[in-house]
Amino acid sequence: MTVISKKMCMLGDFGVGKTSLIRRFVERQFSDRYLSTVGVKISRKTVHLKDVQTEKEQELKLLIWDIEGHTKFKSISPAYLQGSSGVLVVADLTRQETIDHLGDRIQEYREINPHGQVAIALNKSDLLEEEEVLEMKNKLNLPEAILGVYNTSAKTGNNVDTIFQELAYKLWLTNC
Amino acid sequence: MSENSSPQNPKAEAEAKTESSPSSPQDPEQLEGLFNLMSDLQIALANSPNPSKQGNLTDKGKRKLPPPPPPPSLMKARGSRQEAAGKRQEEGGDREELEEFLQTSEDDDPTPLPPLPSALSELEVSAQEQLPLANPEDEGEIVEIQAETIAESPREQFPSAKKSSSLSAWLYGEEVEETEETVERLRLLLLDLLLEENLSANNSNQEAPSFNEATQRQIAKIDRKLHDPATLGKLIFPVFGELLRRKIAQSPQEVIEIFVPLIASIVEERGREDKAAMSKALAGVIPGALSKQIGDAPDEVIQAIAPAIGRSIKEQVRLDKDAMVDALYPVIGNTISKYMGEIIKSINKQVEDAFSLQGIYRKFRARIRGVSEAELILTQSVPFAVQAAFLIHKDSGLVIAEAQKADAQALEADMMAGMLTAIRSFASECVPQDGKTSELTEVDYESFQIVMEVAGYCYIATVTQGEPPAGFYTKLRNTLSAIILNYSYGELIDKYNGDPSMIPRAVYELLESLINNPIEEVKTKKKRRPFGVLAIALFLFIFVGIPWGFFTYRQQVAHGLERQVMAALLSNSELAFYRINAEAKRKTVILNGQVPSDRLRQQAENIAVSLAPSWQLRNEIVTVGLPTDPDRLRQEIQRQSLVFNQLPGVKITVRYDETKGNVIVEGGISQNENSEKIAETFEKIPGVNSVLLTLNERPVPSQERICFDRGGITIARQEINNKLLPLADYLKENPDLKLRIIGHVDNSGEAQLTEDLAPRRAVVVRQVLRNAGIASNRLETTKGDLQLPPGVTQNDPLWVNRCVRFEEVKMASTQAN
Ligand SMILES: Nc1nc2c(ncn2[C@@H]2O[C@H](COP(=O)(O)OP(=O)(O)OP(=O)(O)O)[C@@H](O)[C@H]2O)c(=O)[nH]1
Ligand SMILES: [Mg+2]
Repeated sequence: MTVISKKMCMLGDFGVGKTSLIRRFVERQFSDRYLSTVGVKISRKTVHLKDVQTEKEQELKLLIWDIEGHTKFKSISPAYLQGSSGVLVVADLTRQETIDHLGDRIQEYREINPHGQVAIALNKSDLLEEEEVLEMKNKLNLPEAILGVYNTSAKTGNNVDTIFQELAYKLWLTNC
Repeated sequence: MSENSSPQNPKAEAEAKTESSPSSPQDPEQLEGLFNLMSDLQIALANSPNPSKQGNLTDKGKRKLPPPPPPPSLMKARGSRQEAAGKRQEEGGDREELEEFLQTSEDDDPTPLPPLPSALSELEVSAQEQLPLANPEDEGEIVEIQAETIAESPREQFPSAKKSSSLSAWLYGEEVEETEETVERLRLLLLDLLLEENLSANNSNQEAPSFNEATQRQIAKIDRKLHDPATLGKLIFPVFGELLRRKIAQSPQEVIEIFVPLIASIVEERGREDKAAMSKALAGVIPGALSKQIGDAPDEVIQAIAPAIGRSIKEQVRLDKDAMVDALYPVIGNTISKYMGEIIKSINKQVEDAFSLQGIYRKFRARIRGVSEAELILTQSVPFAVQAAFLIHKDSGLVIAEAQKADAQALEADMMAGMLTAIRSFASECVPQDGKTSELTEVDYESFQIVMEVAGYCYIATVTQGEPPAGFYTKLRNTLSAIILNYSYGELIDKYNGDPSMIPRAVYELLESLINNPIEEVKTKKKRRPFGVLAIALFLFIFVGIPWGFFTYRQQVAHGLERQVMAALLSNSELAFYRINAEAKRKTVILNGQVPSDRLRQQAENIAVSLAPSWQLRNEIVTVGLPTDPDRLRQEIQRQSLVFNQLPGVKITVRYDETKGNVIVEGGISQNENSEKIAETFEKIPGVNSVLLTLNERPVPSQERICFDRGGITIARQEINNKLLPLADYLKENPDLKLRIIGHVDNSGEAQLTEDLAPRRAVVVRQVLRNAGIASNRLETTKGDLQLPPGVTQNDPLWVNRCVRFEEVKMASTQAN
């Protein structure tokens, strides 16, 4: 069985936890230290997928492009987004403005990849009470055709595997 | 002078200062002149200006800067002068001129500005306002004198003075030179000062002194004096500094305005006169000024120096290339060394086989392949190989297909492709070339490079080693073209979905061919050669080929000899370490290289001569204090220390301090002459700067004494280790030695404690030595010695008595016994 490769990106404001989510997913680790990403860093993880209906199985190699976070002063180079099949747009639940920017980020991605899969991670859920998280989630006003919104925590690992797995699965099914 | 001494009068203050200060630079003689003049003027004071002329003057003085505001003393004096006015109706022309001066110093508005600044500011206003006032018709005579004196005055002092000979121009104030103005101004100023003094001094005189002819002459004299720039200069010189200082304190802006137009020419002039002094004066401030300016307005500085930088670098390279290279090395060192390595390699090779068969073969091959000879040389000096080839999707950076060399460690294709793609997008975004997209085609590492060939939707990245020959680029291009032309249909590559199984097998094969056969063979078109060419070829063979062949043969012989000499030099243990080159040409063997001593130089020469007795020899080897190879040096040092440790009584350890080139010798020796020998030997080793000896004058082991506790016969562990075991070694090293072992007891009655203590101690020691492998027939014990051991006195501590000592006995002598 050949391994299919897919490129996916991480998008979001600086410091929301993109690198941390990848680290949790790929290396199963978390650190409190903040080392801001410069440019882009590429990570790789192969996930095993199984279609429950057709019983089909597939190995999918995710090439995850951890792109430097948006700041007020610098938006990212669109070239990094090219050719990616999916994106994980990340916001920090403790910083409202990063949630407000989610729409912009999605828009940005869609301009380059109109058919790309988009999932949203509301990260650092461990810092909030569950009701608060839910409330935040309900307040969200996002465009249709979003794969899903997950509250994640790179620290506890909550929903991290799920969100990557879901995205990978979708990438395989749509195969674009 | 009571008014003058009032503190509100700055001038009075200043004067007091200059007079009281012993360090004031005033020349006493000049001061005297000033005083003389003052006293002269005291008389002239009676001749206060005619007030009727004041209005006249103010009309004309419209160009004047703020006039000298009269100090209090002057205000008072004014009254007295006006009183005297009536009496001065019929005064002569020369007197009138003085009156003019006096007037100028007190006319105009009464704004109570301090007097000095105004006087100075007047320097700026030309004399033209005042001199024409002094009626020229009346004063022709004086003016003439004045002109003369100015003309005579030394030029250095008043460089423009000669121009004043244009009398009319000067008189009517047309194009009056600055210097003249200045002089005139100073003159006025001085008068102002003097007048003030005199007025205040005369203030008490209610009655104006009577006027007479003598006074008139006096005035004329003074006036002339004042017109003579030299005199005036003399007079004004001592106070000038003070004047300036005060003016600057009061209104710096004005002073600046005065000096600004002059500064540039002053600096220029001074620079021309004495460049060194000027440089010295400026040297201190320029670095500071520059860094300040770089901080304040970097762009300006950059613009100012940018055009010069290229030329400075060129000049610096011309002056001292090495310094420049050193400065740049940290930045471009790798590039250079890599480049130089390649060049040197290729040049070596080129030189080596310029006329060899291989050279001809290469030329031949170059012709066949259609590649330049130089390229071929390069290719041969660094073996070119393709480690891996990847076909990468341009947008996503996903690997479409890959091929890697089987024997090497596999490269992480995914990661590399991803990072390369990221770098490519980064690079093309950072280096926008006016609308054109520029592609990254090569990434160069220390030992390998990534060569890329880019098409529309994909690119090939190859990891290569060595300098890629032109043929490789052709091959790369051809491969990519083939892939695109044959397999890029149906969006297979354009919309690559990450599934490598979709990619046809042929694409892999194309990439593999890049690795296995990386250089495209270019087929040269065959040309029809006319018969004439053959004739020419024959001619060439006869007249060029044959002599050239002979020459080549001789080259071969020379090469053989070179190799022979080099091999001989290398097999010589002493010379092998130094890189000596032998070159044989035209019946001469040339040796060059560097050795640390003349002896070695000669040795190399001898070797060469013995191998090529019929050849001439040129020995170009230089003897220098070479930085020696530390490893070799260490070996040599170790070898020497082993030799020394063989000597009886020598136990040394030798370290080498590479940073200082020091040899450090530690340990013990028994004979003093050995230490000198050690130092000498190590110093002789080339590369050793100095020898540090920290040696204990250790006795020969047989001179040691073994100590015991009171009444005891057990030997302490350290006594065995430090004394008896070395002694055993010593005996083994000197097989013709026998030992007599003598026990001692102290004289505190120890002998009564235990019976036969002294002989028993000797026996114990003997046992230890026997255990250490010394034959018992070499160890003779005695009955013991109840005397003090030799060298020990009654005053020594008791424990030195409780010992066993040894005496060496030569085998031969014992046998004789
Ligand atoms: N408590 C908590 N802290 C988190 C979580 N995820 C990330 N952090 C912390 O947030 C900081 C930023 O995390 P990064 O992963 O570096 O953020 P980033 O989005 O990669 O930042 P940029 O590289 O600048 O774009 C770090 O100090 C992390 O430890 C989380 O789920 N919970
Ligand atoms: Mg990051």
